[in-house]
Amino acid sequence: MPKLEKISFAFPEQELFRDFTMEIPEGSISCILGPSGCGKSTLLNLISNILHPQSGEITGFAESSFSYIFQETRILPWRTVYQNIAFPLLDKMDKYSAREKAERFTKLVDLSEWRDQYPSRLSGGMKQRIAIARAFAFPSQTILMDEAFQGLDMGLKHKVFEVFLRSWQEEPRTVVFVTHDLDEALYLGNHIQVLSHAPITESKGFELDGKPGLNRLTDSGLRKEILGLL
Amino acid sequence: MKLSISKNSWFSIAGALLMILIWEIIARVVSSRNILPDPWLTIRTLLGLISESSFYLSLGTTLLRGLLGFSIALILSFLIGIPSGLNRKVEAFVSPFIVTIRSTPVISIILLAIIWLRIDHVPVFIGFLTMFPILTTSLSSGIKEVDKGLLDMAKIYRVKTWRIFSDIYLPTLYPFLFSGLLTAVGFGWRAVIIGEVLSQPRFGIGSMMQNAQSYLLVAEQISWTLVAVLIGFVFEKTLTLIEKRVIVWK
Repeated sequence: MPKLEKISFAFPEQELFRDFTMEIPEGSISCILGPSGCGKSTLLNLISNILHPQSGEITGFAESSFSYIFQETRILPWRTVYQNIAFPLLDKMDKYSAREKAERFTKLVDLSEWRDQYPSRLSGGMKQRIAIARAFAFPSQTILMDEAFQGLDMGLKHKVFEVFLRSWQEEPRTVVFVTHDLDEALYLGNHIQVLSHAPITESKGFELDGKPGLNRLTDSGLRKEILGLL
Repeated sequence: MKLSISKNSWFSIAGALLMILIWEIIARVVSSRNILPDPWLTIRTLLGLISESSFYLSLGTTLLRGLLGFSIALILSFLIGIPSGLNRKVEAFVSPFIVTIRSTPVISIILLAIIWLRIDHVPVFIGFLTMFPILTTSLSSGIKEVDKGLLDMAKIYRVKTWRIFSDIYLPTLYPFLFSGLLTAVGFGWRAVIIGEVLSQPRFGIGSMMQNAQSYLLVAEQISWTLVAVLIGFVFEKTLTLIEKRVIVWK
């Protein structure tokens, strides 16, 4: 199981992690909740090897096998919907497989009709769906998401969440989703880890039962408990 | 949309007609074809020129000189502009060259070039020196505008370096490249002709203008000027058309 073991990490101006240990269940959606600025994005950078812990160890993540869904979609303005989804695939597989995969995911995120449009013609939610399709179509073992749905209004979010869950069911893998929004975590997660304030020394884990979705948002007991920790 | 473009075109046509009218009026007031011939005489002279084979020799030679200067400027601006946009040290190293070329008056460069170079090469050299700093500056400022977020994304997805160049750097450069090209070609074309006027090679639009001027053939001189203007206009329109074809995502 992917694991962070006794990691410590500090920027010159701030200590973020101290002897912090956390397990990430394989093949499920883990939501990492924490107050803004507590080091959630740094956690993703540590997992993806962009940053390195000053002590401790991160194990169980396949080297260089990550997809990333960013808050700003980071799609290429000069490529069409389909071309954006195919963009990272072309270096990973033969042309035929890349084409087949990009087509399948364009359809899966409901963008077939917009296949050959440029992003400037699309809404924020559609652009985020391109980023989701790109991440799931890419043959990674882990998907990292950094506040990926911030900036979308609730109606759009709901639609994007559905697309996200559909993609995950199609190609399940370990997802680490960092957010400060409890509703997002409740809606999507199989697990929630709540981080303490920086320097982070521990996290508290919650298992979520049943299928992800809207129904999760009504559990007021769990909501109260998590909010108490934030 | 289409309607508004054609409406604007009508205004341009009206402006051009007004210009010709003013020309006609001044020509009537001056009433001397040795000082200012009227538009009709000029057009007749132009048609006369076009019917001679030497016209095409001069036109072709000037175009060739422009193209040569332009090609050298474009290649060198890629080789120098892109590294200097990517690296501040390269930029600092290159900047004295660019600043010197850009701020030296064209005329002093021409005077020196006449001493240094074969007469035929002077206009090419002047064209190159005019276009090179404009293109280099455009490309180096374009490269700086590359979205770091897109580069990080490509790195995470392990996209190959040459595809990062062709799919991220190059499309970012296009708008800068085209605005540089429009300015450079406009200035460059005129500079080549100035170079020809002063260095007097055997053929060339500039040489023909200089000849006409020394024999006080004003109608002929204006005709050559019209040719130069027309070609500059064709360059500009062609570039704008290509730009629209290339930058389709906006």
